Amino acid sequence: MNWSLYTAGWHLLDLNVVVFMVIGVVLGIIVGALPGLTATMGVSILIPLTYSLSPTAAILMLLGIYCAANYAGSISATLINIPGTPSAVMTTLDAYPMALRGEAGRAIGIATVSSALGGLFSVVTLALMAPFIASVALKFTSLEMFLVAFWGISIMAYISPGSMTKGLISGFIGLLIATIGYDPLTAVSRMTFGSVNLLSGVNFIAAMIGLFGVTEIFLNIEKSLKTEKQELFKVERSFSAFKEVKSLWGVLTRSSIIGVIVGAIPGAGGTIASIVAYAQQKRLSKHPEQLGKGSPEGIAAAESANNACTGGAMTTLLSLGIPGDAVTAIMIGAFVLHGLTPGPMLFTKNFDLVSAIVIGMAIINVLFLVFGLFGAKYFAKLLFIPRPILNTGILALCVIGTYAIQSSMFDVSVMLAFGILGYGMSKMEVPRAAMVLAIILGPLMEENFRRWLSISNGDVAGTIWQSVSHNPVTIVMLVLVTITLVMPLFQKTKLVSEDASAFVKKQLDEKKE
Amino acid sequence: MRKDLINGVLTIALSVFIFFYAATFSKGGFSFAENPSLYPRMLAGILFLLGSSLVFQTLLKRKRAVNKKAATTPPEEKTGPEPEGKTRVLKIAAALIGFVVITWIVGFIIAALLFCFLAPLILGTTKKTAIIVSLSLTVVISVLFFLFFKVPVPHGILIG
Repeated sequence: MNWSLYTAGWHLLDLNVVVFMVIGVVLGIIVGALPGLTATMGVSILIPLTYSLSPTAAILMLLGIYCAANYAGSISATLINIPGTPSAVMTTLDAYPMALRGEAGRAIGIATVSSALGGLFSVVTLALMAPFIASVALKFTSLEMFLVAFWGISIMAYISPGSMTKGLISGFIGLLIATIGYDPLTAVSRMTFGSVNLLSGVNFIAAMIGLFGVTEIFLNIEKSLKTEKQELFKVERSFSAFKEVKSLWGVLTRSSIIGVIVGAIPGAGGTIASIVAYAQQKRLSKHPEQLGKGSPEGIAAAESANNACTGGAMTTLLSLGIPGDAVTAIMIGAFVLHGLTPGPMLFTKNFDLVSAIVIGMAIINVLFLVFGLFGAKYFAKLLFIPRPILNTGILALCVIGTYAIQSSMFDVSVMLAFGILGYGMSKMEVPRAAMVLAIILGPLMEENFRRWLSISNGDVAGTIWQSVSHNPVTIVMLVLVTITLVMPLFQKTKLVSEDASAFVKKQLDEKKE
Repeated sequence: MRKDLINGVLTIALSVFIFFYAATFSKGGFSFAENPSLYPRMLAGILFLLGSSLVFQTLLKRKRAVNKKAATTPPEEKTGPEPEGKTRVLKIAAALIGFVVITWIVGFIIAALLFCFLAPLILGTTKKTAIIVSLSLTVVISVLFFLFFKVPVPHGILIG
């Protein structure tokens, strides 16, 4: 492996990059600490704003939001018993009881240190694994690239809540949306219904802002108007968390490994990682009865796992171009906006950027550790911001942010249409994440599929057989795709999402009792 | 279950429409792989199968549920959002559409002033708060985009 890759992070010496990285971390903590706002929404709304920045500054700012938001969900989980982001759901089980005992600062301290350590662990994994996977991926043929992209979409459909059929429907509609515009091989216009604006296709950043920004706000607005003033616990600074976390190194290592693995699976994300890590901790703990009653082990397991996911998700994004979760899927937009394509070629053409991303991610984890330990009590005050003001501001940002992509009011209409579509999908219980991934990966899939068809010259079966007999990667990818598509037929419930939600329900029921 | 049935039927309808609409892309003269309608038609075909599968699964579930109905306890009542919630979303969606249209005509600043006044009112704040929100949000967003991110805000077709 070429270790000199990681000496090329000189971009980070640029003051502009440092400033935007800090801004990203602060925005991430704000987004994460406020229930109802998620990293997905934050990143999707802010992508257009990065247009005028350098690629390094832009991507590190968004990574700052991603990593810090994953951590900051623990602040509201501790103080008001509501996870700030879905991935902090398991943190609530132990952090809130700890706050009830007057130890809110201690709980936030453990969450902060565990999150940072989990994140740093995942950065090391990213640094080690990504170049290796990328070097393998460079040898992929068009059939294998098609299969990788298709596997990404099918596994996201499989993991999404609800039935896999609905996940696949969402994914295939996304693939159809991706065909709008000029045909990549013949330049014939397709699915444009005569609109000139659609000739260059649907702007997928506008689609993402609609599906994740506007839709989430609609869902927030629908839930409740109540903005009752809440009594917050006093948050004292807790540097003793370092000492406490020292005794939890086993929990942290195990949960971080779980986080990285789950993070690398397309579509799984921090919520599932924290649930799986928490369940493992409950199984392996010497005092399982204390979990759910304010145990530091529970907080450390959940928080280290959900932050370790970030490195896992970035590993597949950078090396294969396949995002590990919804946030990294959206982050592809930032790469594209700056003329970059995530995937193995990034390691040969833009190794300085990859280097800056890896080193920058490590710095981001240290930054939110510092901000979290020193500033949690100030960030906690954000919980007093009235919802109507917050929702209005975000909707206005969605409009102007979408316009900023290419100064087009048509893009704003697209954003609005996808916002309404996303709300409708949510009401009809159809997952949105698979659609977003398909819109992004669609062009890559079609291009590789049709290139492979051209090469096969009509002999599809013969070409598949030739690929399979000469290249083990094709066999692996075909097996993975087949397993993902066939598995739901042989099991009554989904392996991850439904078991996970059943586990959370059980934990909450136990807590009520 | 009713939702899944609707989802299935809508998917089938969409797939049939796309299948026939995609046929208009091909003007002939292309090889099999080059045919621009090939890929969308293939996707439409898979969507048709998925939609049919969803309808079939739902009908099967419904049949099983009817058979088991007598033996099982009634399902838990779902507690969804209150009906006013949906009305609120409709009002905000209408305000947002209005915001986009007005932005297109007279530009962002006037449209944002109106939207940022109207939206908080719909969401339950007082008029005084709405005026403060409207002024402050418009100024903050315009300054942030124009000066900080160097992105011009839309001026509208009337102002140019």
